Amino acid sequence: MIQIKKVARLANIPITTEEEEMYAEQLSKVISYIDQLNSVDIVGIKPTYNISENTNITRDDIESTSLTQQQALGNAANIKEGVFVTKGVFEEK
Amino acid sequence: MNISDLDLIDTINALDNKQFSLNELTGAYSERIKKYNGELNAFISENEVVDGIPVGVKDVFCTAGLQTTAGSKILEGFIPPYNATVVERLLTKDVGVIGKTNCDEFAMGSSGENSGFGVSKNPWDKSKVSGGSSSGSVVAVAADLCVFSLGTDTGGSIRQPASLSGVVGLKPSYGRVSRYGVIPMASSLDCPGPITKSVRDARQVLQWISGPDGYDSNCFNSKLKDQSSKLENLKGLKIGVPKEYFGKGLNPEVESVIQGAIKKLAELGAKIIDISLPHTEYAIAAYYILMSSEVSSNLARFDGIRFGKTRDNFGMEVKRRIMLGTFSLSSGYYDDYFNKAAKVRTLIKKDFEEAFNPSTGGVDVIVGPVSPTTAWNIGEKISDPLAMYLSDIYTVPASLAGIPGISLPGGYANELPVGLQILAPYMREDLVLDVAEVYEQNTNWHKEKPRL
Repeated sequence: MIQIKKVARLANIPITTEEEEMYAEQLSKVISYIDQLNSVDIVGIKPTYNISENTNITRDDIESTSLTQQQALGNAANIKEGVFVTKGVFEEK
Repeated sequence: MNISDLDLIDTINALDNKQFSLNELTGAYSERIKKYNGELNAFISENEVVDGIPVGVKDVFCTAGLQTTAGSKILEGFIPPYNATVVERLLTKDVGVIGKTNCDEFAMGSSGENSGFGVSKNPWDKSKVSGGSSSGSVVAVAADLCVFSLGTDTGGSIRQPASLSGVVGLKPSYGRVSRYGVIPMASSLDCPGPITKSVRDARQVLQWISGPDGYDSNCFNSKLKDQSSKLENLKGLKIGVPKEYFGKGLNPEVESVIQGAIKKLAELGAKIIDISLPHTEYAIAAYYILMSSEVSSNLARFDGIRFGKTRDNFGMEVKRRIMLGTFSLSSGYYDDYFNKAAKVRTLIKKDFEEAFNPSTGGVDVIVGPVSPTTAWNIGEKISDPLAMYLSDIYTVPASLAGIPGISLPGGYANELPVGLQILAPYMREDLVLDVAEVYEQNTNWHKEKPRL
């Protein structure tokens, strides 16, 4: 059964206790509907992940213009000395 | 002549013949937006200067310098530094963005009610939903607030709202139109496409926006064929009618409209053939696993660092789908859910391939309803996500198979529009458009306008 708290943490979605109950109920209903896939005979069937079936599509390796640093940073909530400010990854608390 | 009544082709001709100026054109539409948008809520943002034939652009397409929210509070205030390829291409055709249209948050929804910016109202009855997720895009076209609009179709988000709001909506084949600059929902399914007042407009817009741009590896060798030779009638054409699209759950009034449309197609010379797409009943289940899984990966980019706000700003439906996808991809469940759904997808794709297979006497196109019902009341299904998902049963299979499909006006049930769906083999938009155009030319449904 779906453990909402765990899934929410994996998905980095903050939810409250009341929301947890609501989502558990709604998603359990959806998952039990989805469980009907168990009745399909899929023995020997290859999965389809992509319809176009294109592989190794590349473009010519030619320089072209891209965003300026200012444009790339334009929508960030917090920038410092021309770079994004993020939470520390390796710092100890 | 009422300028805003004209479709795109007539608008271009009128401009060429100097029947009115570009200023008069943009003025006429801006005037209508001023008058009706407050009530209909079709647009989230309006452009200050419209320099071209006015197009409404679903708010999932990046527009340089113009707020792009994807219908989400998490992107409120986001100003893209570049244009999506399709927008860029329209700008070279003397088209101008008149505004960004409302939609379900990150294109997730079948009613428009999941927008962070309020629901768009159905112009035929303002107490009803417009359909979704391209809600504002269909409302804007149905209410003549723009000449045409752009939408995206992942599981039916162009066709279903087009059906519920009585306009033409074309979902191109997967890979026909570049997704560059389109805020992604489910990358193996997302198809940008036109929403228009007529079938010939859809053909024109598809010609403008399709073909490779070097930025979407699925959009390759996808330039549209020459479209100058069109079908004049349907003589000799084989049209398949899948029995699975007429089962339990199809509203009887919608069914009788669709049966009427099929009768008309037969009168126009087509041979109607009963067919079966046996895995249809599993399409929704497979779709909700695959789509949600891709959603959970795609929306991981919203970290509040480079753009957008923090993840607590996602709406409920978005949270549901991210969590469902995270669940189906998580360790121990991957084979039971994601991989199984991907195999069922193969079977659904094969259903269509067999139905269309010329060497076994297959059909040229498939027709049926777009949606099991007409537009429902605002609020009716909002607390029951599964009921909402099931309303996509006739659009999702073609999305999983990547094939093109159109919804065009096929009649009315209780004064609400009913769309007729036409599906064709992969990369055969020409067939979809040809059949649709012959039907449209021989019916008058598309001439009806909602009373605002």
